[in-house]
Amino acid sequence: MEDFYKVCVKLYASEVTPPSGDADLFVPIFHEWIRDGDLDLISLDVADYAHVPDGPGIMLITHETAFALDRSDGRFGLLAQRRTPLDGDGAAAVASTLRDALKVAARLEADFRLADRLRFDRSEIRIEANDRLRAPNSDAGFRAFGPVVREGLQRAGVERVGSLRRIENEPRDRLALEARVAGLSLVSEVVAP
Amino acid sequence: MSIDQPRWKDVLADRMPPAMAEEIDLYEGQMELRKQRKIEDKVFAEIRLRRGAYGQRYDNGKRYDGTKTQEIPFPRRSLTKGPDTEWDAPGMQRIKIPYGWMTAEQLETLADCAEEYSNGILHITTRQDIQLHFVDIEDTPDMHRRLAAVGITTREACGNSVRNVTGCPKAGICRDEVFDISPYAKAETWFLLGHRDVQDFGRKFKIAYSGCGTEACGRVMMHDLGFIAAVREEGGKEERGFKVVVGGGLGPVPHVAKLLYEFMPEDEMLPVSQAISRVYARLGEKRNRNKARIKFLVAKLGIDEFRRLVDEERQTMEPDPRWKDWLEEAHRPTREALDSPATDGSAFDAPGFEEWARTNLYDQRQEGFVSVTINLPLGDITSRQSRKLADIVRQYTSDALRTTVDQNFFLRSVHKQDVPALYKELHEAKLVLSGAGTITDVTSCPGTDTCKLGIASSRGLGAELREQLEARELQFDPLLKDINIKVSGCPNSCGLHHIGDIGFYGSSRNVGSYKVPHFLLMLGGARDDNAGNYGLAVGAVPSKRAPEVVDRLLDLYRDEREDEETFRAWVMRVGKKVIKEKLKDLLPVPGYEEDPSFYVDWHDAREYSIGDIGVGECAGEVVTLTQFSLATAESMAFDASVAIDDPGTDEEGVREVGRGAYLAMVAAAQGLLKVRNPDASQEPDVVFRQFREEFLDTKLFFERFIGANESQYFVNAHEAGGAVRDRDEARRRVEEAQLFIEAAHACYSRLLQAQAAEAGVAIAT
Repeated sequence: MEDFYKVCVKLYASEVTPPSGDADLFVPIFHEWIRDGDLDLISLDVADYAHVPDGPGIMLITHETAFALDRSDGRFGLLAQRRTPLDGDGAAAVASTLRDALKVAARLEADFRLADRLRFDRSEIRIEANDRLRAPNSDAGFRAFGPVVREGLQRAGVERVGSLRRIENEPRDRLALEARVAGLSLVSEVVAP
Repeated sequence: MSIDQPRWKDVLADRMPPAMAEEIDLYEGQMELRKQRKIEDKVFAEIRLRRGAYGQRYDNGKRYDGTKTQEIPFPRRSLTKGPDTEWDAPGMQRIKIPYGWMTAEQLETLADCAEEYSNGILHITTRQDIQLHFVDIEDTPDMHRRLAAVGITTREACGNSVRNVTGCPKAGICRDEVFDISPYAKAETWFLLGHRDVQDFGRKFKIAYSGCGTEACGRVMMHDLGFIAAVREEGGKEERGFKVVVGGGLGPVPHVAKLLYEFMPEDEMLPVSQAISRVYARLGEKRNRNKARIKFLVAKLGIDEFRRLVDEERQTMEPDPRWKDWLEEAHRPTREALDSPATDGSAFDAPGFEEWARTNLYDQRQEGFVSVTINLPLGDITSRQSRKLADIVRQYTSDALRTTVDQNFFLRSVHKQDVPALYKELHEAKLVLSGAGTITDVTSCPGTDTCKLGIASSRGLGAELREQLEARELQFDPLLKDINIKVSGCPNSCGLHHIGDIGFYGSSRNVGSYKVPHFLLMLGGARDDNAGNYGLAVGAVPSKRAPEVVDRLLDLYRDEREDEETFRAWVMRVGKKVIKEKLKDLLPVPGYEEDPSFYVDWHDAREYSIGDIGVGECAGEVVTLTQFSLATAESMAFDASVAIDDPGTDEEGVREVGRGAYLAMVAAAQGLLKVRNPDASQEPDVVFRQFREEFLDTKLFFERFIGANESQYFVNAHEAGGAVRDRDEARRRVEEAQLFIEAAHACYSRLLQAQAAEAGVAIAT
C-alpha cells in the first residue's frame, strides 16, 4: 500500500495584490519559471482562479506539488498541495511539501516585481492532511498526524518546532495544524534534503 | 508514528451499489493491466473515457512556453493512458449529474473529492456535469468509489456513449411547463446507463428534457435526442407524453433537431429511446468520427426514413418490464420544500440584497415559494463554498439543488419568508453574485486553460467580459440585461456560442510572421425556443479587441433599435454585413512593435505564437498571396452567410449560397496552393485536383489534435459541383466553408513553421 502523502503546507504572507488583481502579478512570474526551468520540479502549467472568491487564486501546477496563492481560510498565503506519491512515509511527505513551499516562497520574495512587498511569515506554518480516510479531521486523526508533522518539520530542517496545535475548523474541512516554529529560513540550507 | 492505511474500497463496501463497486474494481484492474502493457493504449483510452477520465492540455508531454515547445519530463515517459497521452499527465474527471439534480450530501462528497484529488474547485459545465481538473489517474478509482457511495456515477460521462441526460432546472416549479420532466429524465438516465444497445455508438449521444417548447432552459433542439413535455386528451382523460426531436447538435457543423414525433405517449419513452439507439448503433457512421453523430445519419436518411426505421425497430424489440415500472413514481407528487419556513423573516443586515433579488430570484408557480440562482463566475465554486452551500440547502430546502446549463447552481422551493436569511448566509459564503442569467453571466468552456482542443482563451475572455460588464452594472440595465454572451475556445461549441445573442469561438490568425489569438464573432443565435436558432459567423476579431466589439455592438443596438426590438431582431433587421462594416475599425491588429499585448491571450503571459520565425527577410507586415486568398475566402463565406440568414432569399438564392460557400473553399484551397506556386490556377477543378495531390494525399492538411477533418467538406462540396438540395444544406455548407477556411489558416501556420524549421530558425507552435 502506498504511503500517506496527501499533505498541504501553507505559508502566510502579507497581501500584495495590486488593484489589477492577482492575474497581472503572478501569471507572468509563474510562466517565466516554467519557461526557464527555474524550479527543480516538473512544472506543468499555470491555472487562473482569481475570479473565485476566497479561492486558490493563481496556481502553479507541477507534477509533484500544486502551489496556490490561496485565501481559502481567509488569509493570504502560499498553499503547497502534494499531488503525487513519493518515496517515504508521511513525515517525508510533510518535509518534502514544506521544502517545495519554501523554495517557491523564496523565489517569490526574491522576484523583482514583488521586491520589498511580499514577505512570508517565518514563525507560523499551517499543515493540513488532505486525506480524510487516513487522517480524518478528528481527535484520533490529530493524534496520528501530529507526530508525523513534527517529525516532518524537523526532517525539513526547521531548527525548532514549538507548539503544534490543532486548528479548530469546520469538521468537514481538512484536518489542519498550526506549527509555531523558529529558525525557519526560505533559503538554501533548508532546501537541501 | 505511522498512519493507518485503510482503503476506501473496504470502508465504503457496504455503501456502494454492488454493480457500481464491481465496475470500479474492474476499471482499477484494467489500469493495472495497462501499466503492465497488457491492454493496448487505444483500448484503455476508451475504457477510461467511459469512466469519465478525460485528457487535459499538455498530456502529450509537450508545452509551448512562449518561445519554444518544451518536453515535460514526466517520470514514466514510456507509459501512456491513450495514444500520445502520458500516464503521469494530469487529466480531467467529468462527473455526471443527471438533469442537474443532487443532494447536499452529494455536493459535500464532490467538495471533498475536489480538495483531495483536484485543486479545490468544482466546475459546472454547460451540460450540468461537474468537472474536476488536474486529476492524477491513479486517484480516479477511489474518487469513483466515494462518488458511488453517495449515488453518483461517472460511467459513460465521456466516450462514445450516452452522456449526462440534461433537464430544465426549473422542472416542477416552472410557471410555464406542461409537467415536471424530472422523473422522466431520471428514468431515461438509469435505463440507458450501461444498456447493451448503447455500447456500440460511433460517437457520443446527448439527450435533453424540457418542460415546455418555448423557454431556453432545456435546450432540446441542440441535442441528439430531445423530449419536450406535451399532453393530449384521450378518451376524456389527459394523457402525458412528449414531442420528440432528433438529430440536433452544435459543434463545428450545427444542426437544429428534426421533429420525430409530434406526440409520443410517456410509456413509449424508454422503448423509443432504445429503438433510436439501436438504429443509430446499427447505421451510424463508425469510421469517420466527423460524420458519426446521429445528426449526420438523420440528415443522410431524411427524417421520414429515420422515423420509419425507428418504428420498424420498435416493433422487433422484446418487451422489457423496465419500460414501465418507473411510471407510477413519475406521477407521484413530490415535495421538495420544507413544511414551514425555517426563519421568521425578520430584518437582517447584509448589503446588496435588493440588487441581488432583482436578478437571482424566480417566483415559482407554487404560491409563497421562490427559486434562487447561485451565480458562479465561469461556473467555478470552491470546496469550502460548496460545503456552506450544502448547509444552506439542508436548512432551507428539503435537501436538493440543481446545476444549470448556464453553469450555475439553482436552489428551489425556498419559502419567501426565508429569503433574507438565506441571502445572509450566501453572502457569508461569498455566493451572492447578482446578474444570474443576464448579460454579465457569461458562459464559457474551459478553452486553452485545460482543454486539448482549445485555440483561444475562452475563460480568459469570459472573465474579462464579465468583469467589464459588471463594472458598468449592465446586469441591471433594462435594455441590455437580457442579452447573453457565450464563449467557446474552439469551433466545437462547448461554450454554446451558436446560441448566444453574442457568441465567440477561438481562432488564430497570422499577422506578418506572428500568430495572433482571435475569436470568431457569431451573431443571430438565440436561447429561446429550446435553443432553436443558431447564429452564424460575422468574422474574426482580435481577442484583445473582443470587449470593445461587445461594447460597440451594445452601443449600436442601443442607438438603432426600433420599438421593443430584441438584440437578435435588431441583428436580423440591420444585417450582419452592415454590422460588420461598423466594426471594421476594430478588426486590424497593430504591429507587434506597436502593441505586443495583441499577441498574448487573455490571462496568459506567453506570446501566443512567436518565435524567431520572420526575423530577417520575412520580418515586417508583409501580406502574402495566401493571406489575400484566405481573406477573399472569408469574405465569400461571409456573403453566403448573410444571404442564408435573409428570409427573403429564394430558391435560386439558396443555390447561389451553396455555390458561394463552395467557391469560398476553392479560394482558401487556392491560397494554400499559392504557398508553393504563386500562379496557382483559380479554376475549381484544377484547384481541387492540385489541392488533393498536394495537401490531402500528403496529409499536409490534417490537423493533429483538432479532431475534425475539414477537407472532407471541400471534397463533398466539390463532388456535388457546389450544388445544394435545400436551405438546410446550404446553411450547413456555409458553416463547413467557415471551418474549412479556419483549417486552411491553421495549415498555413504549419507551413510557415515548416519553412522556418527548414531555414534552421527556432519556431513557435
